Amino acid sequence: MSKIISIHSFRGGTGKSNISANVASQLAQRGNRVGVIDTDIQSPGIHVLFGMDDEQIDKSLNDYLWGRCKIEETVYNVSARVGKGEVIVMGADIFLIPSSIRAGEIARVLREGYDVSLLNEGFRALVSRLNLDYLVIDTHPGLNEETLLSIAISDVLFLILRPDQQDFQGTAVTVDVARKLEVPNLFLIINKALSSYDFDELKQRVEEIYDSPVAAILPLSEDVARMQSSDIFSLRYPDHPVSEAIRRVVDYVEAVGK
Amino acid sequence: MGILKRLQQEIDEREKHEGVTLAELLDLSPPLRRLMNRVTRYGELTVAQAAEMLEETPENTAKMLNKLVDNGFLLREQRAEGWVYQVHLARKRGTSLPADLWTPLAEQIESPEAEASDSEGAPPALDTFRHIGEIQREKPQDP
Repeated sequence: MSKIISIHSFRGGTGKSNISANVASQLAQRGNRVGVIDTDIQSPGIHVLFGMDDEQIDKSLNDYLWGRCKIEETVYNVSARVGKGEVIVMGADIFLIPSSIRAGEIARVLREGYDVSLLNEGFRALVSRLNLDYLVIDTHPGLNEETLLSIAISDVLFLILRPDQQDFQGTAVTVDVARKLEVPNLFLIINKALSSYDFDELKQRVEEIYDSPVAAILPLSEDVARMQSSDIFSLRYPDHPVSEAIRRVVDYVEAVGK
Repeated sequence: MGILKRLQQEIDEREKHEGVTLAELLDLSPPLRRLMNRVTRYGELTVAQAAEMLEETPENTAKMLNKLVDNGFLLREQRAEGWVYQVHLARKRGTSLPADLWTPLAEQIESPEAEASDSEGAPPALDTFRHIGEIQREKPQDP
């Protein structure tokens, strides 16, 4: 049975796209067919992690939302790009549905809006027509229509937060929204945790605050920053503590519905 | 007052409009929101499925679903198995931001300098970040 996974955070800069790309790639490496859709229409970016740039993107999610093409025409098989295709043997296909990085396209969608029903239909069409095991939705931070929709239809929602007061308060709002929208499986991911923290204690405290399980704590890493989103970190450095944490997130995903 | 009557009253009190936003969905009473959540999550709902959820008779449930159709919350389609209801999501409204807000960015990307840099093999932004990388490498390592 296909699963829709949303990866979200209340605030920007939490590592959503990076974690989305890594979770999707790890799922694919375990033999799943995975789609990744960038619904961050205002500030798209996940395509960079899959080695794509503006020139390589012909049709995007924006074209679909404007009725210029079918959703299938916006799909790019990025399996060969993941891990630079050097040392990684992918177990299955991974497909990317990017949002447009063209300034005019971003401006138009913000200025004129779009048919949200079409986005909803697009999610379902992708799952069925690509025969996906998982559709990973990379969202825009905060709460807007596309974010609320992705939360409303998700089987699994990961909320990312940093150990920071602003993130803590905003996450409380998002947890409340997720509960109102009855997300069946809600997990928290703590990212960029200082290595000096006691991770077990941090996990316990966060779980108590939000009454939700913490799937993983990713340590703050200069190694991740140094990569500058040029590749999928957990595939390039599988033994790194960040990669181990990503695999724990994937364990949670695979455990859902079993 | 029974749950169905309360829900019908709530629907009546809401302004009729073209589709429902997800933000509005959050504002619904819990039973009505549960129904709308379900139809949003699964894409569609039959009368029988909704009746089972609300623990109501199919006749009463159909009345309420049709009222939601009238108010623009749901869409209705006749199929072989009977009426099927789907969520009617409202179009996302645009912003009032000026149309040329992104023009400077587009101009920068398409400028002759940017193209020249492109022809040398690296987009300007990436070039800048490579430079940052070099600066970082020159910094002494922390003990």
